[in-house]
Amino acid sequence: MVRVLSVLAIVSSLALAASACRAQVEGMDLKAAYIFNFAMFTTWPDGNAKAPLVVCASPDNPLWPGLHALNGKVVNGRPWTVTELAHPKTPHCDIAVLARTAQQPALPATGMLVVRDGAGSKAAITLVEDDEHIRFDIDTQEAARNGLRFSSHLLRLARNVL
Amino acid sequence: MLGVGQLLAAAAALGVACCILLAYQFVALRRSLTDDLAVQAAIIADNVSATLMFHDQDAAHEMLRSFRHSSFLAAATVYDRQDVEFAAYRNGAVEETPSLLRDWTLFTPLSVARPIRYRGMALGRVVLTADTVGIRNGLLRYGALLALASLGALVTTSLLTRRTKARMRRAESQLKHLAYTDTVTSLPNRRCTYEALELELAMHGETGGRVGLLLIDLDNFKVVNDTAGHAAGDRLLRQVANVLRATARPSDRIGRIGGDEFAVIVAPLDDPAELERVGQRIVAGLRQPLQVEGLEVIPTASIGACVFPDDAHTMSELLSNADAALYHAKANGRDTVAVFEREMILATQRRARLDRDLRRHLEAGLLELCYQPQYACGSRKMVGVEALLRWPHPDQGYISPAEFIPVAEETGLIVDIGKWVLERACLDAVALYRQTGTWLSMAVNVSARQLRDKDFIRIVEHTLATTGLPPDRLELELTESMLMEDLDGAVEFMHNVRALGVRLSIDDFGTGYSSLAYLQTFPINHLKIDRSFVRLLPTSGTTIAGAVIGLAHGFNLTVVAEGVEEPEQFEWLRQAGCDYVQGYLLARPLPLAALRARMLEERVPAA
Repeated sequence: MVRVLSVLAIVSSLALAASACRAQVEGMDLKAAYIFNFAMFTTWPDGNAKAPLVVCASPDNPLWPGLHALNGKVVNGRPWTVTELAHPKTPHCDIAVLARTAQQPALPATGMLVVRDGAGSKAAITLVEDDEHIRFDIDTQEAARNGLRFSSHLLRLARNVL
Repeated sequence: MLGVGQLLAAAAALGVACCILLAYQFVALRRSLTDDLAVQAAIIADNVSATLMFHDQDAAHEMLRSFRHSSFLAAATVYDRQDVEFAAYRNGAVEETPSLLRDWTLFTPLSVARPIRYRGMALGRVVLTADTVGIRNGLLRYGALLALASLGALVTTSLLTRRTKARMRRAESQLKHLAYTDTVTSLPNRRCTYEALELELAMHGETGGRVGLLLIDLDNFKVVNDTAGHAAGDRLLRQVANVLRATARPSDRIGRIGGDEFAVIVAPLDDPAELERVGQRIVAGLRQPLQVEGLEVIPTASIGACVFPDDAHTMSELLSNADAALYHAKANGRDTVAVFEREMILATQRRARLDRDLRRHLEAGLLELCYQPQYACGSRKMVGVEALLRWPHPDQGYISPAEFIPVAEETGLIVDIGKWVLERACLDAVALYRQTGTWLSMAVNVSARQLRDKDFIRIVEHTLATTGLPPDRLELELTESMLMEDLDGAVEFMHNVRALGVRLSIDDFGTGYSSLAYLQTFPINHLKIDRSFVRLLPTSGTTIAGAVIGLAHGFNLTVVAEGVEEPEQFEWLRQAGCDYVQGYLLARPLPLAALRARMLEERVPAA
């Protein structure tokens, strides 16, 4: 009887662990999708319509797989192209996805949308988890400094707008 | 009575119009609602796209809630790409719609669906549901307005119709008044009088009472009308009407039934003699002089009276009998009342029969002429004849000219008869000349009616031309009285006839006016001494006969004495200087053949 109960406990704890893990993966994919959507509501200064949309991220960033999965999808006519943040050949980043504590890359700041996963140092958009919902804060001054503009639709949905 | 049928028809027509307008209004309201809904769906789809992309249901709800101010939006639901409800808004009105209207398919809520896209990316769809209470209320308001307008229109129409009908009724009654009233005297007219008479007869016929009828004919209306004009004639009629109103009994009905004819219905009439008394009063009342346009006129009238049912049993009989009595009154010298008697109608009937037969026999050539010779007193030779008309009636034998000539005068047939006589006499005179070689003077009588006929002079001319009689062989005999009727016309005629060469004589001289002044102006050739004077000769009457002869010779006229029957008469006339004689003593009126024989016989010894 006890064995049966312990087996049940093990099975249930395993199942719980699996669902938690799946939820975490889904959260990462959702954040990647959000970043993709941010791109849809953002206007870049150069207005280079056909050039690939370069998305820079660190491969060890948990969002990497999710971002990578979106490779090739078109944002406002520009193909979504994920590249390593530290790669020496990277000329510039249209979107820089940074972990909570990561430093901004030493790349030209103009035309670079900095998205930070978790509230840390400065970023144009900061993804936050609020009451099990993924929300975001927008720092319009930070964005403006890099020459970026956001759609009012996006601003309306932001948790905070600085 | 107020055209209920018409009103119902108008109401039905308005009802149909209202239904069509309501249907159109319904379609228009529904179309407008659908358009509004489509616009709102587009706005929602536009604004909700970002919330779908970022799964922000709170923002989506908030956005949808901002449409709560829409008066018609009942529900708005946003579905995501998987068609799972993402956000929704309900105002609860759909559930509150009364079941009666909800079940009525016309007012089922209206839905519009629209896909949500952002930059070509399908994100889901939005479904909006509109409440149709607004349509229903709009239709109800519109229907109420239409009903009110229709009611107003119907009320106005019925009021107008009522006024029009009232006007028409007034006009009709006015027309009726005109149709029954004589406008000159304001008395009931002929139609009205006859209808009243019919009514009186029907009423008293049942109770056995009497109704008297007086037909009144003015004797001198025509003279006033012709000499003083129609206005004076109308005034005379009005004054006569006033006299009638004043003299008739209050219960009697007075009407004007013709130009110068009036009728008085005397009812009730207890004593038949009372009718004549009423008539006498009217005659006496009318005899007062009236001033008409400065002329003093004494309006006299002839009245015929007849009593129902004593002398007539029907209305037409009453009218014709009263007319016969009126005729009698006129024949008896006018200005009098004649009460109907059976004999009058017999006389009238005989006159009518005479007229009918005379007309027929003239056409059939049954009339005859015979000729009474005239002799010269000195030579005792036949110098002329007077043509005399004879009517041998197949049933009644010879009818006296004294009887049928007045009838022919009255009906105007005398004109045709006179024409025939003239032509026949001229033809016979020419024939006699051809057979005997002697021209006779042919004397033909002319009637007053012929003298009035403007064509008569041309008829004379034409007859002379066609028959070949020399004009100086024709002698037309006129009477004094007919010359006096229209003196100017008669003198003009006489001059015209004399210009043709025809001779003229005055018949019956001494019986009428015998005006010496006229005798001087008349262009005549002979005078005839009337038989009434000749009959007295030679014992008495010699003064007049002698005076006439002397007078005639004084005026250079020849004298003919007619009706000579005794030798003593002839002898006296011959000695008195009379030129010609005519009478039974010398010759009776002879048919043409006998005359010819006599002429031939007399010629031989003379020759």
